[in-house]
Amino acid sequence: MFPPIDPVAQRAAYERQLALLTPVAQHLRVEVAPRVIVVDDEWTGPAAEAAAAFVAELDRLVSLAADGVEDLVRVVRGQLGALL
Amino acid sequence: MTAAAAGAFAASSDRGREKGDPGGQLLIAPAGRVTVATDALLATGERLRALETRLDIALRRVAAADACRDGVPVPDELMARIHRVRELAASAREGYARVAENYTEAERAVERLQRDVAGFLAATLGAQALAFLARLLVLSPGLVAAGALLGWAAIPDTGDGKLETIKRFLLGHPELITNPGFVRAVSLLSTSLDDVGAGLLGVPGWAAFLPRPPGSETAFGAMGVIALGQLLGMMRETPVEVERVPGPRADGAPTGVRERLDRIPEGAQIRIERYEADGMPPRFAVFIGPTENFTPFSGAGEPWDSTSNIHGVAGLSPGSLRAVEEAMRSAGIQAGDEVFVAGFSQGGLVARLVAASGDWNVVGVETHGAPAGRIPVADGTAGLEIRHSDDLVPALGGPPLDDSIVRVERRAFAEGAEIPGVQAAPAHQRSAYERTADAIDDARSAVVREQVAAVDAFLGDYLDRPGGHVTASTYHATRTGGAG
Repeated sequence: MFPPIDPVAQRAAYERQLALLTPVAQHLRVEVAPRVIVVDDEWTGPAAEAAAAFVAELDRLVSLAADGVEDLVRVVRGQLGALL
Repeated sequence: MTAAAAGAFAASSDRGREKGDPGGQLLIAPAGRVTVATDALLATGERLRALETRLDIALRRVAAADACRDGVPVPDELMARIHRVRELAASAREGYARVAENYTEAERAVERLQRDVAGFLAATLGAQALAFLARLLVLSPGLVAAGALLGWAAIPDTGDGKLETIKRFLLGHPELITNPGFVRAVSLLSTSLDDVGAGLLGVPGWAAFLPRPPGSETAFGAMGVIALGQLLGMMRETPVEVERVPGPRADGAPTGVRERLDRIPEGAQIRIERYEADGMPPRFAVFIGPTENFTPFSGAGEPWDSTSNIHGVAGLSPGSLRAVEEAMRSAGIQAGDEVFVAGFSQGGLVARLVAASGDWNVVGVETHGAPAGRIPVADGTAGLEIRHSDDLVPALGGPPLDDSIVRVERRAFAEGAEIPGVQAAPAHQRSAYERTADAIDDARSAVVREQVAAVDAFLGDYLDRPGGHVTASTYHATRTGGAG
């Protein structure tokens, strides 16, 4: 037998999760937006290629993380909506 | 990013400069750290560290969400994704830091080796050469004179004198005097003169490799030059007199390095600004001008001369320093009052000497092209030491110490830039330092921006308060009782 679920406690937990995760999703989305991480030093040749590859990889990984957090926020919102 | 990739960044980094600015990239030596990095490299490292901090906060919030007992479980993959971003940022930042450390270590190893070898050669060959020359002068003065005359005769005279020929040659080849290799050689010479003296006294050459107190080798060398010069009636110090003269009024507080450089006077050598606000103790800014007369004979009456330069490098009490301190007392500066000092060339040397004297409460120092690298200032002093690596004047004061002042260095004329041939020392010209001041005001690294902002705040703060105002006084000094 599963213990009985307290809807009040569950709602409070979902709301706390939303309060914690929503800013994270927003922050990560801002990190994905074009911003200068590698400051231009007029890199040339292999340096310019390494800088471009690093920035592209950083953008890709931040996008993946932002997608993951946004997915989780959607799930939590869905669960919270189902309680109402 | 791997260390190799980060290395590639530095290896092929060119320079980050504005269009029309012939100068190279800014190299920064942060206070209390041994590494030297470009402004862009430092700024990149700072931004990556800030990203790591934001990701740490994100990780803590996600972990807290996962800990909510009745909430939705956080997938392990989500935490892993954020961790991967953080690790990438951290490895890139460490890569950049390694680049800076490797660069610094290589530079220092080369410089240490060059300095030790130069010291050894100076102590052995230099001393022997001088001793040989001295014997020749005593035993065969005619031979020495004939050699000198032959050398002088070999210089072509194109109608306006041989000195003009030499001057024209140097102006026609500005790349010689602005070559960083030449400048380094001058720096090595300035720290090897003491070894020549030691060699003449019979100290063995290997003693050049022994550690000495920081700054002592340049000071001893300068003292040797003073002793020799005084035998010929040169480099003799005199008393000085200071009088207040009309000068430009103060128009607010200067903001940024360029505006402060613009307040450094020429002609009348000292400008003192007094900042006041209701209920606050006064603050002062002292701006000190460059050398006005390069004569080594102090009889010309100008304290901003070569005699003051060499006495300042020796850490003695040059006429220009005594004149500035007299002007400071005349302006009402008390021992405990907070003071900011700035100077260009000899003015920078005097600014460092004022800060190092311990007689004044100097809270900030900003110097441009000063031969003052071996004069230590107290820990916690704000400001910047700005020098061009192709300017021989700062090199005359020896290599800079690692003290509390952030050092900003760059080439006034980057590799391949056109060097003007109408000035004797293009990299030491005020216009070159003005361009560098502009580049510093545009710097992106926090290390530099914080120093610039600290001085901005110190000078501007009072003017935003009730009763805030600034008054300026200009002073002119002369030597009295000429000695040579």
